[in-house]
Amino acid sequence: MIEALLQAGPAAWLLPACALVVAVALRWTSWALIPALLVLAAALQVAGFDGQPHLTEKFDATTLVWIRTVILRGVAGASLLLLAFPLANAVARWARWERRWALASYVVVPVGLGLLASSLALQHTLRALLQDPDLPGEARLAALRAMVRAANLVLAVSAGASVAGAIRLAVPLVRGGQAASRSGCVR
Amino acid sequence: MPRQRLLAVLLLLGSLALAAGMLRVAWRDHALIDYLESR
Repeated sequence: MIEALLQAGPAAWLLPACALVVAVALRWTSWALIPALLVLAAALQVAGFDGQPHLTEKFDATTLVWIRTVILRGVAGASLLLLAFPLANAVARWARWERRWALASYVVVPVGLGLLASSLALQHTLRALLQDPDLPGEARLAALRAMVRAANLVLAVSAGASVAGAIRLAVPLVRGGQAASRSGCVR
Repeated sequence: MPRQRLLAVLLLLGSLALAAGMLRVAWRDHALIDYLESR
């Protein structure tokens, strides 16, 4: 993780640094919902490749830009895992709701785990490909394609788990009254 | 409490937005493979 942070350059530090400030602020403020949502949005923003070719005069840097995004994705995933409780705390505090750990573990943790697992799997494949210079280009591309598919499956499953967790938490709240009381609401 | 019903809506919309963001990340990775294949 430290190696990944060092490789990713100054931009990689921005999210954890901002997240740390937000985490400290979230502990005491009641308006922390908005920065909490911004942290989640920023994590997903840095985790995604822009999808554009990055052509310079001398060579095609698209793959390098993508590799940097993959490393940042791991940083974003790890940051979300570390911040799962402070983020959930900010949302729950705003709603005067007590199920903070449930919110963190059902909704935020799957997203962080998905991003981190996707990043680590892709980094593992990239490292293996770089260590084998004799591999033909087509086999290299096929291996990368297979790992991108697997990593995308991980992302889709964790996205589904997050939505399922949110539905599980939201249903008692919508029913309200007795059900909301059982789910730990502070009256 | 109205705020908790609002929280339920926020949870559902927020998790759907997170899921959409993650699928976007996956889609963009796939776009890179398509780009590499087209070269």
